[in-house]
Amino acid sequence: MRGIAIAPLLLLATLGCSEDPVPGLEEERRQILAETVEKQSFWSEVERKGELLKEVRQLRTEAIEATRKIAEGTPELMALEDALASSREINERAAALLFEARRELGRLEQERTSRETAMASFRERSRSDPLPPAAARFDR
Amino acid sequence: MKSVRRLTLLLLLAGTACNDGREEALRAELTRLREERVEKSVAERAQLETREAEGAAQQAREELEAAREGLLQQEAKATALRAAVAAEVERNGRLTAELSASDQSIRAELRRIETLDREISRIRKRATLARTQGETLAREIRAEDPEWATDRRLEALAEFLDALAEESPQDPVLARLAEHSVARVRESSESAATAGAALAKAASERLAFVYGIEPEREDERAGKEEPPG
Repeated sequence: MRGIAIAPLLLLATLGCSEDPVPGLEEERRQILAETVEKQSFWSEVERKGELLKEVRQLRTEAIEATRKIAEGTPELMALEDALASSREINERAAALLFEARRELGRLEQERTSRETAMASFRERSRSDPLPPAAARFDR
Repeated sequence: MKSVRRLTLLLLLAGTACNDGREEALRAELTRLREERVEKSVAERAQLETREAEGAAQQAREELEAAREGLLQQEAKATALRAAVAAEVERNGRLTAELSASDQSIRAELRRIETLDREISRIRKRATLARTQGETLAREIRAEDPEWATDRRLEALAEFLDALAEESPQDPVLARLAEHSVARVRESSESAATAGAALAKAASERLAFVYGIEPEREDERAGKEEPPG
C-alpha cells in the first residue's frame, strides 16, 4: 500500500524533470535577443535624431535670416544699379561734351595760331630787306 | 504520514536538481533583457527617423549654404556697385573739372583770337589806308603838272614816307625810302614826277607785301576817283 502511494509521486517527479522550462526559457531568450536591440543604441538614435532636429531648426533659422538679409539688401542693390546707370549716363554725356569742347579748343588753337602766324609774318616781312621792284631804282 | 512528507521533499529536491538552477538564472536574465532591450522594429523606426533627420539636416545645410552664398554674392555685388558708383562720381568730378578747364581755355582762346583779330584788323586797316594813300600819290604826281605842283606833291610824298618809317621803325625798306629816296628823285635823271610816282608806288607795294594786302582793284580806284556828288 505504501509503495503504491510513492509511485505516482516518483512519476510526477520524473515528469517534472521531463518538462524542464529551461529550453523554453532559452528559446525565449534567443527570440528576445533576435528581435530586440539594446535600449542604449535606441536611445542613442533618439538622441541623435533630437540633435539633428535641433540642428535643422538652427540651420533653418539661419537660412531664414540670410534670406531676410538678401530680401532687405535687394532694394539697395537695385538703387545702386540705378545710381550706377544714371551716373554712367551723365558721365557719358559729360565725356561727349568734353570731347566736343576739346575739339573746339583745338580748332580755336589753330585759328589763334594762324593769326599769330599772320602777325609773325607781318613782323618778319617788315624786317626783310629786299626792295619792291618799283623801289629798286631808288636804292642805288 | 511522516514518510509522505519526506517523499515530497525528495521530489522537490529532485525537481530542483534536474535543471541545476538554470531556470532561475534564465528567468532573471529574461527579466533583465526585457528591461534593457527594445524591439527591433521600434529601433528601426528610430533609425529611419534619424536618417530622415539627417536628410533634413543635410538639406537645411545646403539651403543655408545656398542662402549664405546668395548673401555673399549680394554683398559682393553691392560692394562692387558701390565701388563702381564711387568711381563714376570721381570720374564725374574729373570730367566736370576738365570741362571747366576746357571752357576757360576756350574763353581764353576766344579772347586771344579777338585781340589778335583786332590787332590784325588795325594793322591791315592802317596799312591799307597807307597803301591807298601811296597809290593816290603815285597817280597824282603827273608829268604834265607844273613844277610847283610836282614839288608840293613830292613834299607830301616825303612826309608820307617819313610817317611810314616812323610807324614801322623796324622796316629797313621804308626807312631807306624815307631817308634817301625823295632826294634821289630830285637828283634823278628822269622827270621828278615820274620818279616820284614810282617812289609812291614802291611804298605802296612794300605795304602790300608786308601786310598781305591785295592790290587795289580797278573798281575801288574808280569809285574813289569819281567826283563827289
